[in-house]
Amino acid sequence: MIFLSAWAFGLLSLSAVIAFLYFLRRREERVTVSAIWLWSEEQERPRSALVLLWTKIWLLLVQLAALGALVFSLARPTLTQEFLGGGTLALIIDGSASMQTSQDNKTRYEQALKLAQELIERRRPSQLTVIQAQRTPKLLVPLTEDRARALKILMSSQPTLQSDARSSDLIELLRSQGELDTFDEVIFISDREPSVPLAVTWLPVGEPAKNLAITGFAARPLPDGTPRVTLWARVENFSQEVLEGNLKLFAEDTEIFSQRLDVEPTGSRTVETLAPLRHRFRAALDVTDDFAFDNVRYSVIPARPKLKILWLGERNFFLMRALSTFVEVRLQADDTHPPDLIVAHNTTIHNFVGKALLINSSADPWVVHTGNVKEAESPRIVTPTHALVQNVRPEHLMLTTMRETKLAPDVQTLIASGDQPILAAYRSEGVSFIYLGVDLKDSPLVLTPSFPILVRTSLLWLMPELGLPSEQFISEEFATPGFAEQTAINLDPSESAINRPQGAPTARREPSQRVTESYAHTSLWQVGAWVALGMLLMEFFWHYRGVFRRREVDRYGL
Amino acid sequence: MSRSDLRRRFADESFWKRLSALQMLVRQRAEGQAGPWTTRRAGMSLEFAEYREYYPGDDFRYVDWNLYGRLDRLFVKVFHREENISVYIAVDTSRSMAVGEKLRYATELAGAVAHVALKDMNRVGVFAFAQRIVSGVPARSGPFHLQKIFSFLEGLEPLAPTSLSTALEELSKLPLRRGLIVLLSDMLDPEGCEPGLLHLLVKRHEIAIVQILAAHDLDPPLRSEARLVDSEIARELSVSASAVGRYRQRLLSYAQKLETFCRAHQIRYKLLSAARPLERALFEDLRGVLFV
Repeated sequence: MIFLSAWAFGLLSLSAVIAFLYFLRRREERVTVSAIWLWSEEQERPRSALVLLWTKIWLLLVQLAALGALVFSLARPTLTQEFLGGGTLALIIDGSASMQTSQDNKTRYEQALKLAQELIERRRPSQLTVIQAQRTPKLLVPLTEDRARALKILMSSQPTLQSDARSSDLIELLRSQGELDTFDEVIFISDREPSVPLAVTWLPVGEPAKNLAITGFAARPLPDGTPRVTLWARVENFSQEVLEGNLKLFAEDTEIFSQRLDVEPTGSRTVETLAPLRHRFRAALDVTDDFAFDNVRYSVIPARPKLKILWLGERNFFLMRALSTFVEVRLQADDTHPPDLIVAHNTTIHNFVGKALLINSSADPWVVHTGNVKEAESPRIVTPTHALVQNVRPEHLMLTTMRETKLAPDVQTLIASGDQPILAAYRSEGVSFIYLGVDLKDSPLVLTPSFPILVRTSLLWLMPELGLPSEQFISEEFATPGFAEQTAINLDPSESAINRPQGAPTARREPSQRVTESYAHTSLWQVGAWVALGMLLMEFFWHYRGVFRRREVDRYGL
Repeated sequence: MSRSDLRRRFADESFWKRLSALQMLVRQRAEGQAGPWTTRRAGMSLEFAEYREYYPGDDFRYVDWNLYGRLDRLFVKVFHREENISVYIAVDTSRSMAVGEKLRYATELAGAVAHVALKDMNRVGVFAFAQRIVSGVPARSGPFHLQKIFSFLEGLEPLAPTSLSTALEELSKLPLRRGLIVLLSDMLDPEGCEPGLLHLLVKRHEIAIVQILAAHDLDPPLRSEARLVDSEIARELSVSASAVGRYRQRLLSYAQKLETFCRAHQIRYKLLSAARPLERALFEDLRGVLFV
């Protein structure tokens, strides 16, 4: 309870005046009576000193109590209680892998859920949105007034094996629910301090945990061409104590290496060994700790398809590198054996069969160069939905001059400069080709990101059966046929650092302090006023109590 | 009370007229001179009483000759005698009557009663008493007697402690004609007044008591601690305001006891507050007690 006008307590000094006046007035007055013998019995009644004292001062006590109540009222007492409702709350709960760290049979995520539940029930926000924060953040509860439903959804949520969320993604997701200033408070429940460029209240969960983790694992074929692979693994100890574990390495499902490791607190050990050439490798750490998800790592050596290429015309280093990125190129000098792909660069071919990549080359009768050179215009995408133009930026195909080209009617123009094709494609029963009207020697295209994209999509369009290995990001689940698990995952190494940073607030104390930042104020001055009035009325009735006893003598008509 | 106060009170013509319309209430035949009250004694009024055998010397004018014709014996007619009554007003002048102007109220009442009695040709005497009979005006009738009574009443002062029994016993020993004794007093005597009243009853007086209590007697204005000083004797007492309720109970119990005694002995009794307007006391409260 607080007093908004504490100066009023100075009025308590009036109690001295009241006491003085009371005793001044209480002095015995001399009253002449007709018959003192009618009063004389009063003297005979024995009384204790306490009763006499009480008789003398009880009215003074009533007056002082009335003054006290009045002063209490004037001091504007206000009862401060926790904010019991209202406001718009954005609750972000960390759903990254480290939240699955278990302590006392409860994961950090379960602790976070309990904390969130307490928070919602105590704050009782009028509007609420809940976001689960991980690398791909998820809007668990859109902005709603239905707290019960929000709680139900929240409590049924599960953490992911993803790494921490990007702040930009979180802010984007928050903005999808309203302007940021519409949220009275943004609360982030996480095991590590969020780095969000936004005023958020961090409610930490989790205590320092015991964790030995494989934070790095890689497989690399030997450069000398021998069918062997170098395996490399790094094991880190994120605990405050020495941990030991047994690191095992597997090629496919065969154990090829095992070593016992003692790792100092916050220290790391690396292991390197040779292994036979295989496609998939696994590192597993046998250790008892609080976070098991980083005790296994996977490494996959991408298997590039082999492709026989008949190269016609000029060689080009950038095109060769781009092709080698996606396929194992085997060039052949002639067409004694049918090639998988014909690459023609700055040349002319006739009546070919098969699949061809025509770079600034004519291929009669489908692509014919007239011999004229024209001034180029700004490239524009003619067929935006075609697979070949996806992720390709037209300005990267900017030219100054270009050959005048005539295309067969069935050839589809994808990107054009004026009425001239820059990128075109054709597919029939026995012939399919892609025409790129750019001289790679003169064009900066080879230095732009669009070039490898264009090469890769061209290979895929021409030979869908190749099944080129797709780009694999760390910490994304990916299919690993032949592994014991149907899906394998490599955690982001940062998720292994499950010890909360040094100096972070204690898990439980901080939330309660944060939660009580908002208050509801209840004014209590009426209580004091009513008590004071009651006291004064009591004294009034006591003082004039004779008036109320007159009924006894009424029968005498007095 | 000053002379002018009492006379000013009765100078109001409307009050005087209303007062003149009142008539004393007398329940027994009184002894006295010819007056408005018919007595059992034989007299000269027009009201026939009885026949009596003629004795020599009786006035022949009262012989009933018709009866003599029928019975052949001489009878004389006896008539009731119309007499006035004697009203004795006893005013308490003890020092307790000074509390709350009870004495002033008593003298005003006494003046009014004297006027009502005198206008009907009754004899009115006034006595002042405290421990004993202090002074008095002999019973007389006639309009000039009222002035004498007023002068007497205006000169009354509270004098001494009360001793009702002694004073009333002394009153009973005075050579008074049987009549109505009007007692105007606060009747506050720790020894009681019953023995004195019995002495008066033995003398076959008719008694009417008007107990006059001050407003302060009925509701003492004590707000806290008070030092009570007795108006008559040298005695003091410290009490708190909480004693008022018990005091009031004792006072009313005392008055009730007196009323019960009066009812048992056919004494008319009325308790009046000195704060009550005199007009209301005379024309409302005392009807059936002093006045018809």
